[in-house]
Amino acid sequence: MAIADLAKFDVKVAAQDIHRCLQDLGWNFDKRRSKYPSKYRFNPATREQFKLIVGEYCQMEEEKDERQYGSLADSLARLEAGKRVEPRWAETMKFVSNFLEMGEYASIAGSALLYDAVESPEQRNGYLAQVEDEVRHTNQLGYLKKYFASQYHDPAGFTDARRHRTGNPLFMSNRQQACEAFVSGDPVLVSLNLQMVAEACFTNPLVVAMTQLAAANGDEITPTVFLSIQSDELRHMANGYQTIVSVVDDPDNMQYLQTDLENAFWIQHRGFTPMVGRAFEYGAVNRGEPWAKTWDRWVYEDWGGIWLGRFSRFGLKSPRNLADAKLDAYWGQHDAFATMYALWPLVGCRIELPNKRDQAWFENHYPGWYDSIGKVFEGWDKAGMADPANRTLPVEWLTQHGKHIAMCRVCQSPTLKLTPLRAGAVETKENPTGCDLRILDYRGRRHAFCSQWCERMFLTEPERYTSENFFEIFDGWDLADIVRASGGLRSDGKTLVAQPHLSAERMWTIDDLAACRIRVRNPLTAGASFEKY
Amino acid sequence: MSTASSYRRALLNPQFDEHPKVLEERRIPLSFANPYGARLSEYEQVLLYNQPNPDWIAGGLGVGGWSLSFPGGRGTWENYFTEAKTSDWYVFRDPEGRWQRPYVAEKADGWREFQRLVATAASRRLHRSLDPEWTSQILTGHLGALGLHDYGLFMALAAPIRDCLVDTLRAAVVTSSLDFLDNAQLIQAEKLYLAQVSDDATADVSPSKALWHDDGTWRGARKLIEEIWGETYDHIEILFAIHVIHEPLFGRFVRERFFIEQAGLHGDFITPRVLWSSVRGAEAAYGWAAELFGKTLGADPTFNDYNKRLMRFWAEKWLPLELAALHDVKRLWSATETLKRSADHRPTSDQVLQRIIEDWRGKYGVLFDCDADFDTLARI
Repeated sequence: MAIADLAKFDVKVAAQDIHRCLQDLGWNFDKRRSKYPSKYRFNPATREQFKLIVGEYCQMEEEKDERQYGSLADSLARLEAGKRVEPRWAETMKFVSNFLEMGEYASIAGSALLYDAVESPEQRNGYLAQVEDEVRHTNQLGYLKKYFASQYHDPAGFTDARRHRTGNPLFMSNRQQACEAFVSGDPVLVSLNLQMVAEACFTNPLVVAMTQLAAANGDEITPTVFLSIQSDELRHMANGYQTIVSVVDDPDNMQYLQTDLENAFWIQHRGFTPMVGRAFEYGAVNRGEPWAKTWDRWVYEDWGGIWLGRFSRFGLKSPRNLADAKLDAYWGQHDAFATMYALWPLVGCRIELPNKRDQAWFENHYPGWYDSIGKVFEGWDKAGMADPANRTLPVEWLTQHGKHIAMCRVCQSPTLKLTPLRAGAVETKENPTGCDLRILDYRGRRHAFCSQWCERMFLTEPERYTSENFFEIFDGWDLADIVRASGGLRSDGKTLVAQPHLSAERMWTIDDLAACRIRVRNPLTAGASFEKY
Repeated sequence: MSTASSYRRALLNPQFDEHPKVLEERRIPLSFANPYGARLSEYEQVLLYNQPNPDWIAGGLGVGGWSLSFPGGRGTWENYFTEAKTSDWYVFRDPEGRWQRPYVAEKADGWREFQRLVATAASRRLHRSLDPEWTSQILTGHLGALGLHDYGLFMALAAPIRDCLVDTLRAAVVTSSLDFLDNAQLIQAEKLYLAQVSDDATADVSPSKALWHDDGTWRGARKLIEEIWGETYDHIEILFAIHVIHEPLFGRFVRERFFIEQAGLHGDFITPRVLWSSVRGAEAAYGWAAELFGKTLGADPTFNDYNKRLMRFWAEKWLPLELAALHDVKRLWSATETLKRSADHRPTSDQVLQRIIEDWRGKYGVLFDCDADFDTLARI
């Protein structure tokens, strides 16, 4: 046999060779149309960047799984890592892991919507890999909660989180931004929300920057999981890039793209910016740089400048609302913490007010903090709101001071504003919070909006935002009844999962909460968000 | 003051060498959930109740409604996405309990096994025994058409992944979708291998595509898949059409009884190994499809009779299309001279099909008390 014949049998079937044939696997037919219609037209010749086939993809993920689950099940378990976390941080992770799990879970459906919508087989292949990635991330977050629950001294809140989130007003905003915006709407808008903004912009601070902070607070579990998650996100960002590439060749598409980008950015910002900033600054004992700086670097400069700069050749510009978002990144997390503390019985974790050391840090990095919101926190502390013996809640203070929380109909964010007002803004009778609140009457209901950006989305497509918000759903409910209905009690059947302090002593029970006699009201009709009865 | 950037990180965080007082003894992740087995499995812990349904979607824990709709008002997840009804969507489980980790590990092993297969086959020159006609007509052409068929099924499952109303079902459908795309890719991988070792083979997709689009052998199958992919919006009906009707009949007939069984007759030892993962995928899908249609829907305490009637209604639509597809694809049984020569020594395609239909009645028909007359349906 000739040497050439021998060589012939040294065969290789490379994944890339298989991938090269993918574009030929699709076909079109008369009845072929996506079940999720788009106003955009997709280019069927669009390519994907990562070019993985199923087998090769699974081999890569298997390796990552072995490292991550191996570390958790072996070395970190033997080191009892879950018992060495700063409690304030561990409590924050109850909220963050639940939030992120929701987003990852919804992204399974969102990525499937995208692979149904586009025309290019390569693009579909990339989206399908993302579908499985999102299953992976959902499972990883579930595992993280289960892991914390098995070791941390207060598992309540890591456990049963998927039930008692249903009575959490902060979950409504989470569900809107990191769930429904990922699965409902024009497929390109879904991609902009999920891939172009949430993943390319906000997962960097949430999933990468947070790992440093977690480690500084004794948490070695979160970095192990989050960095493994983030190793998949690059492919999702590339999917988002290719979504844009698949529509920019058609001039008709461009009339929609800039506005959709702005809308997606605003929805994602309203969900992410205050929540992540709150976790960073009010959940940490050992802090890093101020959130405003982190946000500036990751969101304003890296995403708004460098990443979106890549799209300038397609005629796409940074969103106009980036400047408004930047203001939110300075004060928004403080108001978000005030909201969370005010609503503490419903939030599914234990939180505490800033101590003297924290206060000094806040005033140092956010001049004006103490004279505005800092004094409110101090007042709540002096009033003994953490102590069940006093049977008083921060929401009573809000009502007494005319500071009502409304829910934005579009982004579902709470609108409390206790930090310094934007230059030129004033408190009025209609808008006692002095924030950018707007209120419209439409079809017999009153609708609040956090900003002109959400108002614009509503006015363009009001039929998309017809649901009831937290204050409408629970109008007239006692806070204790909401806690009972959503399973917010510990195994003794009386102690609340959520607490307004981190102490093992003097924990609130359902009887303490019921004795406060506070019920929820719709602020747009009743004039207050909570009333004592 | 220490900050994250100045704080000296200590892996063991000695401040916590003495552990705080335990505040809660209950550590099970979902204390309220009913386990499928004796206790809540890892699969259930990392997946169940992720779907954030309001209580008007059966089994949902939330209240109120969704915050967002599609343009025009179509909801985020709604009962009207399917005609099927249940008292509780959350009772559904994949009996194999496949969450991402075990699933991906199995697929990764499948890919490694494929690499070992082609390396060994090439080294041992197994292609020398290949029947040239089988290689040039069946493997180069019709096997690739089966790949396109599987690609269509992969696409048809996008909507169920998007629309289904419970997390455990969503995860199961994702595995099925990946399985079909993997099948299509492995078939293409085999063609790439064959093209390197045999002058009778080509890796080009176009001969297969020509058969898929223009040859009568695949006409019925293509029509059925396009009907599912393009026209069917009820995601549970899509799963029914694929996993109760099409794969158990057509898939078994073509994958197992034709390609796998007849390959040996043509000196082909590779194709059965390559297609085995698709058979494994079909078996895994049988597990969860039987759970969905037989238990979650078919044994629901309130809607069991309704669901069975619905399934029989669906079957009336899909079985004639299925039988037409089976009728067309029977041509494969005489596609080579070897098959024609050996016809007297093996069961006819009709006999093979009859056996498959009998099996189908026992495994799938019983799920919804199907009494379909296949002879009559075949004439429709």
